[in-house]
This record gives sequence, structure tokens and C-alpha cells, in this order.
Amino acid sequence: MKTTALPEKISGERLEALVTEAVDRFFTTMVGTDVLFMNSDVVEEKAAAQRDLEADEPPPAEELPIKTKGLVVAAVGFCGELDGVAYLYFTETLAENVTCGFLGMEMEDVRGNHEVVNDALGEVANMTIGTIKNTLSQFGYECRLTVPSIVRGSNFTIQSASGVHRQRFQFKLYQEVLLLDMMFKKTA
Amino acid sequence: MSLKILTVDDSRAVRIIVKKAFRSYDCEVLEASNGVEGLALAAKEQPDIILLDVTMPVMDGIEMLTKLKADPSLKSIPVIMLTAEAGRESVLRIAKLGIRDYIVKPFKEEVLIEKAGRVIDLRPADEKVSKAKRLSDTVDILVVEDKPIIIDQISKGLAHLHWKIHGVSTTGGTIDFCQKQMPDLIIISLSLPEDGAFSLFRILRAQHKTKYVPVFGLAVKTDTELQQKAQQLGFNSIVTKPIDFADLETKVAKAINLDTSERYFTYDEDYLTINLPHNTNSYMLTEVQNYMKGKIADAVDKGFYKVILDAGRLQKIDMETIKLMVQAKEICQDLTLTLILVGNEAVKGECRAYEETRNWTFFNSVDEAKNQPMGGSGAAQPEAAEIEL
Repeated sequence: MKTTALPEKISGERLEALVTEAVDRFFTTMVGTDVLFMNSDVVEEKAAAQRDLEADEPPPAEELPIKTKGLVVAAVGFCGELDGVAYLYFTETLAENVTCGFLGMEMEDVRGNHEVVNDALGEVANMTIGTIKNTLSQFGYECRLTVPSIVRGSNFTIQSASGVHRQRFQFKLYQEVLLLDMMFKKTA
Repeated sequence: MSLKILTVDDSRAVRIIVKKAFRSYDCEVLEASNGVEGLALAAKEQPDIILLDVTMPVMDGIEMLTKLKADPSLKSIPVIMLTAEAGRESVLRIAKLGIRDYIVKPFKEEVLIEKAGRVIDLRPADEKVSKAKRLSDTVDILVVEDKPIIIDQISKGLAHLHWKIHGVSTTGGTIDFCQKQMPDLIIISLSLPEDGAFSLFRILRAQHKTKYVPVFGLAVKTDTELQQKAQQLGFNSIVTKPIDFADLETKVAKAINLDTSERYFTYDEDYLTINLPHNTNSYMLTEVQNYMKGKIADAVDKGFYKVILDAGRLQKIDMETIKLMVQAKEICQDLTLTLILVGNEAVKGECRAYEETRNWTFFNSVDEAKNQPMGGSGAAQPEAAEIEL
């Protein structure tokens, strides 16, 4: 199995530090809640041969460290010196709790209100990944963000293209797991 | 008139947050979701300030800002950019277009208010009806003075009140104090070195949190130049050394809109007493006058049947005091209460000199007065003695 190297000037520790700092900064500033970093792991890319073997079979359910039923995933891309995309995985309950804290709204106004939750999480992604992007630019990797998008569903997987560095970061807040899945590569 | 704040952001979440941040201020928050809507709303409403996002569909913030600055009717509207872009080049590019400030997301509400407050005059929404502090409430006074003995003097001079005197000696100390606890009033020694008092005053007035805190200048009585400079700069009042603490007390009470009625009015079992202190001055008489009608009406509401006006501690009496007593009599007559007067020889003698008050009778003490049955002698005028509720 092949692991794609991180761009120079960004070590594994440095990436972990800037991601955790960005997530912590957002949730303490705008939601008013503590968030606990649990761990991160690099997702390894399967070899091309192995992928071809599995082409006729449905891809196995990916082992995600969170419940895969009823997910709300906020995605935002970035392009420039680095090209990539980051996903923030929330369960429905976590998404609603974060929305209440972020917007200062009552749960009765948020529960089941996809429009409000989607918009809130899109902005969560925008601000969190925006902060990561700003820190990356200090290392010489200037990028711009795309508009955020939201995916809702159960039992789905997101597979990366070849040649990217992919790393997942787990956090705990509101007694649930928040997953940040980030994949990127240096532009040629 | 309320201020108008226009927030232009494609994220409804951000617009909700901005609206929430300003809800306790006297302002109206207008919303637009892109640059086109923002321009249209700005032209129609002429907001006092625009909070503008950078990345938006249809028309982004840069384009909207460029168009604003090109329109003579809109170019003077101050703009603060709210953006997730913190890169140096982006900030410089935006700054060149003429923004007043920028805020990087995520942001604290306090930062938004602070920065907006530097551009527009934000006032609390309920400023006019905010509950005044009473004499028995704690009042925090910060004294900025590099001579500890003066701070000590002020503490002792005001020790009879529920006022806490906090002392600092520098500008930095003042700012640190105000970050942790907002004082009700600040007294600054005008003789701080290197014009420190005036620099500090400008800093306090520039910061949103301290903008409306009353600030007094403290100077030696003969230092008229410093006093004049302070008044021109906008200090709320000047206190001269040596300090007249009765005068200071009055000035502080006035500056912080202190409810001093309990100094003059007490409700006992079945009567209201109006107490005139021994050092009653014209300011105090005005205070009594301001509260009197309301307090006597409250007494009626409580089921009281008499009011005792105690002028027994007055060392002198003048026309203003007599006018007050006449006014009290008239109010009591209107509300069919019995007014009973308490006075000393000076008060009695003075009253005998006037037509209106010549026949007034006085008791020697409140104890004598309160035991009088309803309509008993000692009422303000004999003919009023029989008036009942």
C-alpha cells in the first residue's frame, strides 16, 4: 500500500496542530463549547491492482469511527498551491446541537429544519477550513476556498483520487464524535 | 432614530449571528445575501454601516465594494469586511478599496461590536429606561491617581456610602481594570505625568465599552488651565482639591443618575417622612422636588394618611426651601393627606416672615408629630387639619 507524502514544510505534527487549533478555535469562539481532540490517522491509498479487482464488486462499507446512519457531511474544497477538499462528518443529533450553539437558537426551532442546519454546517466548514487554509498560506501554500456543500445520507463512503494525502482527525464534542476528513496534494 | 446596519453575506447563519450580536443595541439590522441585493438595499436604505462578506455568489464582496465606492451617494458609507480570508495579500487588496476595518471568521460577538462601535455610535436599546442605581446599591468608582494618599482620602470621604473606591496609578492599570470590571464612574488626576490624563480620556472614549462611563477630572483648585483643557476635551465634570466631599457626592450621584430618594424619603408604619438634611443645598432641594410628587402618591397607594416634613435639622432656611414646603402642602391637599411639619426655631422664625407661611405650626420632633391623630394640630394649615382621605 502506498502512502502519499505530505508537502514539504508540513510535517504530520504540524498538520495535526493546525487542524486541531482551527477546530478548537471555531467551536470555542462561535459555539461556546469545548472540543476534545482524540486522534488522527493517515488513510492509506490502495494499490491500483487492488482497486481493479474490486471494480465489479460494491465497495465495502468503509470503517468510519462514527455511526454511518443519518450522517450530515459538510464539504468545502480549496485550490491553489494545494488542491484538496475537507469533509466534516456530523451525526444528525450532533449537527442539530452544533447549529443551536452556533446560531443561539432553541432545539425546537432547529430539529428537522434541514435548511437551517445545512446552512449552519456549511458555515462551520467555511470557517474551520478557512482557518486551516489561512495557516497553510503562512507556510507558502496560498489557496482559495470553494463554496461549501452538504451531503446527507447513510452508509456511504467517500473515496479519494490517487496521489493525495488523506488524513482523518477525530474530535469529541457534545458527547459525540466529530470527524474531519482532509485530502489534498500539492499542485504541480 | 435607530441606526441601520446592513449585513451582506450569502450565509444565513452569519446573518443570524450578526443580528443576534446587535439585538441589545438601538439599531435595525438589514440583510442581503449577495452583492446585487446588497447594493440595491444600500441605495434604498442608506445604512450607517455595511458588514460585507467577501465570497458570495452572483456578486462577491470585492465587486460590491468597488461599486459602492464608485457611487457618490454610497461611497461614504463605512464598510467592515467579514471574511474567512486572512491572507496578507487578500487583506491588503481589500484594504486598498477603502474599508474601515475587517474581521476574520470565526469571530467573537464582542469583537464585532467593538469594531462596529468605533465606526458608529452604538447605544444600548434600553438606555433610556435602564434601571437607575439606588443610594443603597454598590457603586464602583475608579480613581486614577499616582498619589496613594489622595485615593485614601477619597475612600475615607465617601466611606459613609455603599461606594467602592478602586485605585490605580497608570493608564495601563485603568485599561486592565476596565477589562475585568466596568466601573460606574472614573476620576482621573489631571496632573498625571506626560498629559496621561488626556491620553487616557481619549482611549476611554474610543473604546465602545467605556465610551459612556462618566469621567471626572481631579485637579488643584488653582490649576485652571488643566481644568479648562479637560472641559474642552469633554470630561463630564471637574473635582477640585481640596475635595469637598458633599459636592463630590452630589456630582457623582448626578453623573450616574443615582436614585437618591432614600436619602430624603422614608416610609414608616403609616406615614411618609420627608427628611431635609442639615446641609441641604439647592441641588438637594431640586432632588427632593423631583421625587416628591411620586413618593407622596406612593404613600397614598400604601394607604397612608399623613406626611411628615422634617425640617428640624436645617441650619438655615431660604425662599427655595419655603417654596418646597408650600409645594408639599399643595400636593398633600390634592391627594387629601395631612401634612405635618417639624421645625426648629430658625425655621419657625423664617416662616413667620412670609404671608403664606405665617400661620404654619411646627412640631419639635418627628416623634411628637407621628403621634398626632389624623387632623390633629401641627398640620400645615389649621383649615387643612380636618382633611381626611
